[in-house]
Amino acid sequence: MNVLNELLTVVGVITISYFAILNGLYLVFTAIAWRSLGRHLRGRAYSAAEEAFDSPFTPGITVILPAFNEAAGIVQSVHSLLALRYPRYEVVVVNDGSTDDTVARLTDAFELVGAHRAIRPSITTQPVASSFVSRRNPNLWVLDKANGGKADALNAGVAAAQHPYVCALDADALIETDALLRVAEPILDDPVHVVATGGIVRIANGSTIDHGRVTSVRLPSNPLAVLQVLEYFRAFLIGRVGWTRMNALLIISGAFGLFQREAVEEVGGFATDTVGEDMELVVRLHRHFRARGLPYRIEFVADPVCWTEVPEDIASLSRQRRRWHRGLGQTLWRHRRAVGNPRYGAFGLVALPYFVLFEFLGPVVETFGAALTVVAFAVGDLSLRSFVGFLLLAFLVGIVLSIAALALEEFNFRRHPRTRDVVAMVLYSVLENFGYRQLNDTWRVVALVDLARRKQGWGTQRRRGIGNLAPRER
Amino acid sequence: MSVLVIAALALSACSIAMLAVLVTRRWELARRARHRRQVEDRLKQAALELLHGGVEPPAELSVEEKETLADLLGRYARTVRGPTHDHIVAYFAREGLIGREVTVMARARQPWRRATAAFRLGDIGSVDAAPALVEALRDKDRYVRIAAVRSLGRLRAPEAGAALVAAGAEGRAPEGLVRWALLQLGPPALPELRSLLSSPSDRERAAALQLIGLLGGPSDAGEAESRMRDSSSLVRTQAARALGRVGGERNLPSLLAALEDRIPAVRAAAAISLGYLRDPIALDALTQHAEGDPVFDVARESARAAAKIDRQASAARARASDSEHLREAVDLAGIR
Repeated sequence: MNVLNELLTVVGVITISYFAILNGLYLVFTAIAWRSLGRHLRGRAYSAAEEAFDSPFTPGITVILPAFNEAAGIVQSVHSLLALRYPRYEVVVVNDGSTDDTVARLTDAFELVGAHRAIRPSITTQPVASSFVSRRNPNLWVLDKANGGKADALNAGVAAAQHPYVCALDADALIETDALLRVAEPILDDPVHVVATGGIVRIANGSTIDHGRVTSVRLPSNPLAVLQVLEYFRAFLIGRVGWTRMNALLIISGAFGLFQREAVEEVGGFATDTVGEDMELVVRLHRHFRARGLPYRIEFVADPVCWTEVPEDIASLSRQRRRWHRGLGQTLWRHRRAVGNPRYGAFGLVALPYFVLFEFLGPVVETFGAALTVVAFAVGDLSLRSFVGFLLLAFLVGIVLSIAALALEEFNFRRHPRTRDVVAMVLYSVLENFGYRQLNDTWRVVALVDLARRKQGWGTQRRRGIGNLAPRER
Repeated sequence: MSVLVIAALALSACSIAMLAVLVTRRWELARRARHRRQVEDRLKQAALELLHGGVEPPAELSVEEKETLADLLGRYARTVRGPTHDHIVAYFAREGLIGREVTVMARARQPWRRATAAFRLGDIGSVDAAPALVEALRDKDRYVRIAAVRSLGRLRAPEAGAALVAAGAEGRAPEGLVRWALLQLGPPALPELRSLLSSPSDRERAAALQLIGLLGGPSDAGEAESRMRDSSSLVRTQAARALGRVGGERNLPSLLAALEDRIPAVRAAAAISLGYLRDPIALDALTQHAEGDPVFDVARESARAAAKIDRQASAARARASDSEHLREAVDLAGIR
C-alpha cells in the first residue's frame, strides 16, 4: 500500500505541475493577446487599407478553391469570391476528380470555355486533364484534375498560379468581402519578410447567409456548435496571437491562409500524405527559413474573417477532432528532429515542445490525471474535501480561460450583436467544463490509437451546407 | 486545503469581475453609440449646409458637438473635391483645428493620439499641414508614420516627394503605401523623382523609376533607358517597366537586350513592356522566350506579350511548337 501511496504522490505532483505549467502558459498567452489585439485593432484605423485597395502596387493574389463533390454550394462560393475587395486577384477552382456535376454547374453559371493553362513543373500533382476560363470574368479559372486529395488540389492551384501570393481556402468556407485585403496587410507592410498569414475562422452555423455573405451573426441553436464557437475564440484569439508574437505560429487554418507562392514552391508544396497538410506546410516553412538563417515572418491576423460550418452531431465532430489530432501527430513525428532543437529558435525550443507536451500528449495526461484523482480518492490517499477542491479548481481555471477568451472577443470585435447570445456563451463557457472537454480528450486519445494503427483518410462529415445554416426553430 | 479554497475563491472572483466588466462595457458602448448617432443626426444638416454653401454652423455648439462635426466633415472630405472641399478646409482653418491637430501630432505622448491627428490632417486636406506631416515620417511609432504617409498622399503635396521615397527605402513605412502616396502627388513630383535617379540607394533609384514610368512622359524615356545598364537588377527591372509606358520604337533595342538579362525579373519586365509597345519587331524574340526560357514566369510574360502583338501569328507558332505558354496566352487573348 505504501508503494502505491508513494507512486500516487509522485505521479500526482507531476500531474499538478503539468496543469500548473499549462494553465500558466494559457494565462500568459491571454495577457499577450489582450495587449496585441488592442494595439492591432487601434492601428487598423490607420492601416490605410483603402489606399492599398486603390494602389497599383498591391501584389496580386491567386485564390485557390479545391473542390471535391461540392456541386451544391460551389456556385455560391465562387460568386462570393469574385465579389472580394482586392485590386488584383484571380480565382482558381481546382476540381479534384469530383463525381458529381461540380464542373457542369460552374460552366453554366460562369460561361466557362476551354482554355489552356500552363502549369509549373515545380510541384508534382495528379494530372490536370483540362482547364477552363470564364467568358464573363477572365479572372476565374477552373482546373479539372484527377482525384488526389485536398493537398494535391491545392498544389495544382499553386502550380498554376500567376500571382506572387496564393490564398488557400476550403470550398465550404465564406470569406468576408474585405478579408483578402486585411489578411494581406502584414505582406503589404513587409513584403520582403512575411511569407504566410492566416485569418480568423468563425462559425457560420445559425447565422443568416445571403448571396454568399453572412448578413446577420447569430449563435447556433445546436449546443455542440455553440461549444465550438467558444473553442474557436480560445484557439484563434488567444493561442495564435501569442504564437505570432514569438514568430512561432504553427497553424494557419486550411480554411483561410495566404502564402508567398515562391516559398511554398521552394519547400515542395502541401504534403499529400498527411491529414494535417495546413499545419505541416507551416512547420516546413519555419524549418526551411530557420535552417538557412533567413529572416522571415509567419503571422496571424485577427480581423479578416472566414466563416465556416462546423459539425452539429457527435459522430461528425468526433471524426473531425480525431482527424485533426492525427494530423498534429503526423506533423510532429515528421518534424521530430526540430523538437527542442536550438537551431530553430523559439519555434524549435518553445512551440514544438509545447505542441508535443500539451497539445498532442495533453489528452493522455488529462485523462490519466482524472483517473488518478479518482484512484487516489478511492484508496483514501485524497480526502473528499481535497478531491472536490481539485475538481473545482480545474473547472474554475477552465471557466476563467473561457470567459477571458469571450471577453477578448467582446472587447475587440463584438461580432455577436445580441446580448442574449453573449449571455448564452457565458453559460456555455461554464457548461463546457462538464462533459464536453472530457469528450474532446477522449476523442483525442482515440486518435492516438488511430495513429498507432496508421489510420489514414478524412472520413465523412454530415453537413447542412454553408448556404443552409440559418437558425432552426428554437 | 486552505490554498485550494483561496485559489478557488480568487478564480471565482476573477470570473465574476470579468463578467461584470463585460456587461457594463457592452451597456456603456451601446449607450455611447446611441448618443453619438443622436448628435450626428442633429449636426448632419449643419454639415451639409457648410459643404454646399459655406454656411457657418451655429456658434453655440458644445465642445462635443464641435468634435462630432469635425469628424463628420473629415469623413465627407475624403470623398469630395473642388469648392465643397475648400469650404471644409476653410472651416477647419477658422476653428483652429489644423493647428491643434498639428500640435497633437507633434507633442502627444500616446502614439494612438499622434496617429489619429496625422490621419485627420489628411482628411482635413490643408496643405499647410504638409511640413508637419513630413516631420511625422520620422515618428518613432510605425502607425503614426503610416498615417502621415497616407495623409501626404491625400494632400498631394509635391514637396513631400523626397521624404516619402526615403521613408519607403529606409523601411520606415510600407513601400507599397509610399508609392501610392507618391503617385497621388502626380506630375508635380517628377522633378524630385528625377533627382533621385542618382541616389546611391538601389531601392530609391528603383522606386523613382517605377513612379517616373507611371507619371512621366516620352521625355523620360532616355533617362529610363540609361538605367537599363544599372548594376542593380532592381533598378534594371523598373527601368524596363518604365520604358513600356514612357518609351517608344527607339527604345526597342534596349528592351530586346534586356530580354537576355541574366536576372529573370528583368527579362519578365522587358517582356511585359514589349507587349505594351506592341511592335512586331519583338515578336520573334518573345516567342523564342515563350518557348524556351527556363524560368516559368518569363516564358509566361513573353507569351502574353507575343499574343498581344499578334494573336494569329502566336496561335500558329503555338500549334507548331506546342508551347503551353503560347497556347495559354492565345486562348486568353481570345477571351479578352
